[in-house]
Amino acid sequence: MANITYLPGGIRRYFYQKLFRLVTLSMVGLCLLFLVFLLGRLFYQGAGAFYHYQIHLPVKIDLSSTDARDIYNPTAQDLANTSFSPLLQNALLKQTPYDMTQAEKKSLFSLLSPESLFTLRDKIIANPSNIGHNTTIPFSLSGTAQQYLKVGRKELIHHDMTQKLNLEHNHDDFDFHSGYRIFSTKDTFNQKLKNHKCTLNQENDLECHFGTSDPSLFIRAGNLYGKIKQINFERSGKETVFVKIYTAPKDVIVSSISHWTLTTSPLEQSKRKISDMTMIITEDLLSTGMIRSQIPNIPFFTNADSRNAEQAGILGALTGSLMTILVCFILALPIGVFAAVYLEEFAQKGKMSTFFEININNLASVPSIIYGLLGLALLLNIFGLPRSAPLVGGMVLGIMSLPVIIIATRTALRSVPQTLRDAAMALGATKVQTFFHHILPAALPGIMTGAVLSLSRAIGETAPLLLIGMVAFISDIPKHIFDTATVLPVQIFLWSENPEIAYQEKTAATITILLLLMICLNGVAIFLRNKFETKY
Amino acid sequence: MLVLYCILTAFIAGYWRYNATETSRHKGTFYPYTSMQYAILTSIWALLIFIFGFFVFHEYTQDSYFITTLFTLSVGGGNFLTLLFPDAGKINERIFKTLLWLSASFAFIVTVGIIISLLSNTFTFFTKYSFIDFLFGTTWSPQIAMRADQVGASGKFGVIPLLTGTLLITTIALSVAIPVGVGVAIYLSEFATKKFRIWVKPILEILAGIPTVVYGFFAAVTVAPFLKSLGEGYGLTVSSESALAAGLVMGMMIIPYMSSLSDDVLHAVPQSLRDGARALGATEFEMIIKVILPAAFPGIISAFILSFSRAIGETMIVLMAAGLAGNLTFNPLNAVTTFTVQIGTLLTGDQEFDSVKTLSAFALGATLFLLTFILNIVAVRMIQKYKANYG
Repeated sequence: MANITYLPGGIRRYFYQKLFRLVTLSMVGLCLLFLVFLLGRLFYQGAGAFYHYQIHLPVKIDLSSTDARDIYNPTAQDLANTSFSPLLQNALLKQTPYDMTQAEKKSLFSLLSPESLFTLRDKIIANPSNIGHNTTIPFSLSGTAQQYLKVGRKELIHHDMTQKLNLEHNHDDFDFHSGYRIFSTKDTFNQKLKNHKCTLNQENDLECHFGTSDPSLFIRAGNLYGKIKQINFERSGKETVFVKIYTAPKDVIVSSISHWTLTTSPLEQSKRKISDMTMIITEDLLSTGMIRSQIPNIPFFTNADSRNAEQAGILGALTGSLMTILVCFILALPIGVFAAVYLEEFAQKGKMSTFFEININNLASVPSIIYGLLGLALLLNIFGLPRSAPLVGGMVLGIMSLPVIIIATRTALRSVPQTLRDAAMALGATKVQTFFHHILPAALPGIMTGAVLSLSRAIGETAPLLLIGMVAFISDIPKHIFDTATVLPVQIFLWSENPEIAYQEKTAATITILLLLMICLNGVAIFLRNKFETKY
Repeated sequence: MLVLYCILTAFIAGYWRYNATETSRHKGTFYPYTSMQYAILTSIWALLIFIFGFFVFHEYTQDSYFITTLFTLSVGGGNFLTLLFPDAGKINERIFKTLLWLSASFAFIVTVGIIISLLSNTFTFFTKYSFIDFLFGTTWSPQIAMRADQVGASGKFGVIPLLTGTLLITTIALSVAIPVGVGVAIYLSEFATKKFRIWVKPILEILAGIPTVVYGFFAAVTVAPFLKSLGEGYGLTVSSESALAAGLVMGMMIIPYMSSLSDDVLHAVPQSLRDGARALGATEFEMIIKVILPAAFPGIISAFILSFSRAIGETMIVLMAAGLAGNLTFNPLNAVTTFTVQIGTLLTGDQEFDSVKTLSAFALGATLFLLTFILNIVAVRMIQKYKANYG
C-alpha cells in the first residue's frame, strides 16, 4: 500500500480507495449475514418439531371393563376388534385425585392424542402376557397439550408471594364437586387486579368473578394447584378468595400456607384451546415426571403425513424422494454420459452437432416449470402413466438433469489432454478402447461431481413435480414406483400453507433435514473431486 | 442380513475374477484400477441392484424366489463389469457405437420433444382464443364456463398484467442482486486474499444450492409479515403478499448466480490491462472503475441478462410469497402475479385437458420458453464476442 504523501492527487484518492474496498467488503458481509440469518431462523423455527412430550401412564390391562370380557383366551383378532378406551380413561382418572363432572372428564381425556388408543391396542396385542397386570406405556400427548407445553407455558406470569394465607374447606356451596376452598387474607390480591370488572354485592363488598372470558388466575402451593373463581373485597380490607383445587382429594385439609405462587395467564380460557383444569393437571403431571419430553421426536421420522398436526411425519416424503431420485439417476446418468461421449468423441463435427450443442446449452437454463409442462403433456396425457408416481417424477427430473449432466461430462472430457488420446491411438488402440481404458477414468471425477451436483439440485426441485400431480395429500408410505407419492420439497410446500403452528414447526424442521441432505451430497461431490482428481 | 451376504459374495467374486483375468490376459497393459478398487465397484453394483429391487418391487420382496434372483444378479453383476472394459474387436466397437448413438438420439428427441409439445398445445390454444387478445389484453381472469348458460364466466386471458407483475418482481430482485453480486465479485477477484476466497466461495455455493422452496417459505413466513408491519407503522397499506417481499428474497437468491458469472467475467480480463493501469499509478478503485469494468462491460451485461432470465423463470418464491390476482400495477406493495405462478395454479386442479384454461398454461409456458431462449442466445453471443476480443 503506497504511502499517502507520495500519492499524486492527495488524500482524496486514497480515501475513495478505502471507501470502495469497504463497500465491496460490506457486500460480502451482507451475503454472509443473510445466510446466517436465514439458516438460524429456520433452525430456530424448526427446533420445536424435534422433541415432543409423552406421558408415561401406568395402565391396568383389565379386560373386564371392555367388550372382550366374555371371551376366554382372546386371540389377536379379538383384541384388534376391542375398544380399549375404558382402560385409558380409568388410567387417566387414577392420576387425578378429585371427582370430576362429565364435561371435565371429557376435557381431561382430550389430553391424550387420538392415536393413543392404537398404541395401547398394539402394545396389548404384542404382549398378551400383560393382561391382568399393570404396565407403564408412553403415550403421545394431543396437539393442544403439546402446544401448551412447548409455547404456552412460557407465557404464564408467576409472582412469588410470602404472605401467610389461612385456608378453610368449604362444603356447603353451589358447586358441590369437591376441592373448593376459601382463603381469607388482607390486602394481597388488590394490586393484581387492575382493570378487572367487579360488582358491588348486597353487603357492599366488591365481588370479582373470574369466568371463562376473563384472564385466569391460579394459586400454587406445594402440591395444591387451584384456579381462583371469585374474590370478595370487603370494606374492612379483608379479602376472601374462592379457589377450586384440582390436584388434591377432597378430604385432605390444609390450614395455612406461607410460600405460594400466583400465576396469571394473559390469554382468557375462551380464547385458548386448552382449558384451565387440563392446564393445571398437565403442570402437576409434569412436576411428578409422568409427562416427559422425548428427544428426538420419533413419530416425526416414522410417520407419513397426517391431518393431525402432531402425528404428521416425513417418512412418506423421504421414501418418495428417494424413489424419485433413484429413477432420475438411473435415467439421466447413463443417457447423459453416453450422449455426451458420442457428441464429443465419435460424432462428425457438422451442422447437426453444433445445432445440438446450442440446444443443450439453452435447455440447461430453461425454467424448470417448463419440464413440468412437458411431463404433463407427454407422460401423463399421451403415455398415460399414473399421476403423482415416483416414476413420472423421476422421468421429469431426469429430463431436467439431462442437459446439465451432458454439459458437465463434455467439460470433463475436454479437460483430458489430447496427448493421452494420441498416445493410446499411436500404440494401436481402437477408439472404444482408448475411451474406456484411458479417457473415461481420467474424466470420471468431473463426471461424478457433475452428476452429484445435478442430483442435489433435483432433490430440491418442486415446480415441475407440482404440475405432474405430486401435490395431493398422501397419508401412506409409497411401496413402489407406480404408487402415489410425494417428495420432500412438495411436502414443505404443502405444510407451509397450513397456518397451524405445529405444521409451521414441521415445515421448518423438514427444511432443515432437506438442507442437511443437500450439504451431505455436496460434501460427497467435493470429496470425490478432491480424492480422484489427477493433474495432467 | 441377506444384503451383506450378497455384497460380500459380490466383493469376493469381483476380486477373484479380476485377479484371474489380469494375470492371464492383461499382463503388462495399463489398467486404471487396482483389484481392490474393482472389487469395491462390484460390491457397490450389488448394493445398487439390491436397493433398486427393494424400492421398485417393494411389495414382492416377501417372495423368496425374488430374493434368490436378486442374489444371483448381484453376484453375476460383478462379472458384468468386465463388459465395461472390453477388449478390441469389430463387434464390440459396433455395439458400443450404436449404444452411444442411441443415447445421443434420445437426448436429441427429448430436446425436440419439449419444443413440439409446447408448440402443438399453444396452437390448439390459439385456435380457441385470439392471439391479439392474448398478447395485448390487460385483464387476466382465467375462468371458463362450466355450463352453457353460466353468467359471468367468460375468461379473459390477457397477458399484460402477468408481464408487468413479472417485470416488477424481477426489477426489485435485480436491483438487489446486481450491486451486491458485482460488488462481491469485485472484492473476491481484486481485494481478497487466497485464504479469504477459500472460505467465502463455499459459503456462496451453499447460498446458491439452497432449494427455492426454502426461500419461498422464508419470504412468506418472515419477510412478508415484517414488511407489512413495517409499512403499517408508516401508514402505508402493504398487502400481505407484496411484490416487494418476493422481489427481495428472489434478489437474495440470484446474488450467488450473478456473482459467480461476474467473477468469471472479471477473471477473463487480461492481466496486461491491470498491469498497465498499475504502472500508470492508478489506485485499485480507479483501476476497477476506469479500466476493468468498462473492459468487462459486455460480460457483465450478459451476466445481467442471464440472471434476468433466471429470475423470470423462478416459480416457488413467487408462488408462496406473491399473490394470484392479476393486478396491473407498478406499486411494489401490492400483490401481483407472474407467468410461472399462473402456470402452476392453472394446472393443479380438475380441468379436462382441452379446455381453454389448461391450454392457456401451455401458451404461457411457450411464451416463457421463447423469452428465456432468446435471452440466453443473446447473452451467450455477447460472452463469445467479449471473449474473442480478449482471448
